[in-house]
Amino acid sequence: MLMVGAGIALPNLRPGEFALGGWVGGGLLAVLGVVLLLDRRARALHSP
Amino acid sequence: MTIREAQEEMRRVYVNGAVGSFVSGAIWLASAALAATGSRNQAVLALVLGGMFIFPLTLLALRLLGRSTAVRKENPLSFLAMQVAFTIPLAIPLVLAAMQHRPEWFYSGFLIVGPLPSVRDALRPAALRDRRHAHGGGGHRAAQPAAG
Repeated sequence: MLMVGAGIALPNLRPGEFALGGWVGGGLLAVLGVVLLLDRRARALHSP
Repeated sequence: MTIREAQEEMRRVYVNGAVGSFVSGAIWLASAALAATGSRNQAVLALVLGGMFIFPLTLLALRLLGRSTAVRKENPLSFLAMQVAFTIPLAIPLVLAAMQHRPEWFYSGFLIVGPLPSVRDALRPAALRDRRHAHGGGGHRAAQPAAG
């Protein structure tokens, strides 16, 4: 939802900025990767 | 194989989808770097063509990390990546058409259409099927939704 929201908001907040969407998208995907990695570790810690 | 087992195997093999997310993020950042320094067309090509190689690059990254990329044949979710890979390209003409109107809609378009056929959405019907099975007295409990 955050990515979809960023996609809708960016052209309105910074019209004419082409590369900004790429930085934001790449950053969000990297953050998502960290979240998924941490989630996996948490799951492993609590597994019997 | 139950849906829960299939989901657990997918999470274990693909490290919860984290490696694919990092690969995808790297392609986006490379495209953004090209947009900032080079031409707009190079940035577009980098994301569109690079996006086609997310899954093979993810498998390569997993192998470089010394992990197995093999999913058991009986796992019904093994075609999930392929389903997602074939769904997203359908939106490419739409995004490119929007970009002709306003160039900054290129990345925004992919930000909107990219997460739509997510693994979570693709797994939801399977999870519901699994729940119905459990209520029918057939064994295991409902599967947890996949992360991602």
